[in-house]
Amino acid sequence: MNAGQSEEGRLIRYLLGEALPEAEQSALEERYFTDDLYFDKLIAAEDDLIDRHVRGTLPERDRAGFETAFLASVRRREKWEAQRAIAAFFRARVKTKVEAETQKPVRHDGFGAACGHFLRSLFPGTRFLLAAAALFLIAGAAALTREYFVVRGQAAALQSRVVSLEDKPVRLPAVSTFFLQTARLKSDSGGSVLAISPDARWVVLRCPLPASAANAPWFATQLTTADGEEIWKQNRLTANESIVEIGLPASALKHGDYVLSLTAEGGTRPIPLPSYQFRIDR
Amino acid sequence: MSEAGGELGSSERYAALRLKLVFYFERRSCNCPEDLADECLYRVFVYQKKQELPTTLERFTFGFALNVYREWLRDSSRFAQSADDVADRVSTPAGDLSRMVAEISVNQMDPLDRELMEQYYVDGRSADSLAAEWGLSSEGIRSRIFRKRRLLMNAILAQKKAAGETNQASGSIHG
Repeated sequence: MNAGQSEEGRLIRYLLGEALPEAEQSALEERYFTDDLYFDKLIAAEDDLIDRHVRGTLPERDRAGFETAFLASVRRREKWEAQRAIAAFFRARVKTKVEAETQKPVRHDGFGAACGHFLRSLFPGTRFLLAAAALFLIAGAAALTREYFVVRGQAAALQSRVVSLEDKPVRLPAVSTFFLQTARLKSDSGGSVLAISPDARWVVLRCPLPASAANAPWFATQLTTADGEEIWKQNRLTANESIVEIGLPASALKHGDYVLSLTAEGGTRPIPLPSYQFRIDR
Repeated sequence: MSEAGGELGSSERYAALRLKLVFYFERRSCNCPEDLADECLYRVFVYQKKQELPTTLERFTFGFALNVYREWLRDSSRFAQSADDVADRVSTPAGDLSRMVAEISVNQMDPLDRELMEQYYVDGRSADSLAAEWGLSSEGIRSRIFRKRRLLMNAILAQKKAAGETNQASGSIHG
C-alpha cells in the first residue's frame, strides 16, 4: 500500500498498525471521535483493506501487517471472514452456473425446439430478417400451391374432354383422292373413271406437273364439264414436289365428264399445261 | 455529526461511539478492545450522572479512552477476555459463513447488483473498469459495492449472533 501522505494512506497505515508520530496519531483519533464523516472514511478504508486482501490485490508489503496486526482483532477477523464468505459465495455461485451450463445434457426436444433455441440465440435484427424471409417463402409457397391446383383443375378438365372425345366415334370427313395423268383419267383405283364414294364429302385431285413447269411459282386451274361449263376455278396454287393438289367439295362433281386445265403463272406470261380429262361415276 | 454535549441517548450515537472506542483500542493492540470500550462508556455514563460534561460527549469520551488504555497497560488481566470467548467468535469456518450468505437475501438482491458483485469478486474487475462498462462513476460503483457488501456482512454477523455463536454482543458493523 502506498501510504504516502494522502488521507486514505494515513488511515490505512493507522489500521495496519504502522508507526505514526504520536501527535499525528492523536490528532487522527481525536478527529474521528469528533467527526462522524471522517470516521465513515476510516470504516470504508477498513472495508477496502479487507476487500483487497480477500481479492488478493493487497500489496505484499501490506499483507504481513494485515495478517499480523490487523487480524489480531476478533472484530476485524469476523469482518474478514464475512467478506471472504461473500466472495466465496459469489465465486461458488458463478462456478455452479458455469458447470450447469457446460454439463447441461443435450436435450432432444425435436426440430421445433431446436429451431426455437437457434432463433433465440440470434440477434433481434437477424431474427426479423429470418421472419420476413419465412413470410415471403410462405406467401410464395401459397401462391404456387394455388397455381398448382388451378393448372391441375384445367388439366383434369382437358383430360375429361379428351376422354369424352376418345369415347365418341371419330367422324372424319370422307375424302376421295385421285391421281390424275394428262390426256387420260386415272383414279386411285385405276382407269379414267373416278368413282366417288357416296359418303365422300371432299375430293382431292393430284396433278403431276411436266418438268418444264416444275419451277413455276404458282398455278391456276379450271374445271369444266365436257360441254365447257365452268365448275371450279382457283388461282395461286403452289406445287409440292412437282404435284399440284386441288381440293373441292364432292357435291360440286356430279355424274359426267370433266376437263381440268392448268396454267403455269408467275412468269412473263401464263403457260398452258396439258389438261386432264376424267369421268365422275356416282 | 456529533452533538455538542448531550448524553448517550440514542442507540445510534451509542453504537457509533462504542465502535470508535473499539477502533481506538484495536490500534493499540489491546486484546479486549470491546471490553475496554464498554468499560470506557460505563465510566462516561457514571461521570455524566454526577456532573455535566465539560465538552462534547465524543471529545470527552476520547479523553477517557486514554485513561482506560493506560489502566489496561498497567494491568491487562483486569480486562482480558477468556480464551474460550475469543475461540467461539472466530471458529466459524468460511464454508459455514458461505452457507449463511446463501441463506440470506442474496437472491432478493437486485439482479444488476448481483451481476456487479459477481464481476467484482469472481472476475476480479476493478471499480474503474466496472464504472467504464456500466456507465457510472468509479465512486458510484465503489459506493454500490460497499453498501451491498455491508448489508451482507451485517446479515452474516446477525445470523451468527442469532445462532448463538457469539457469546458477547459486538454490535453491527457501523457505517
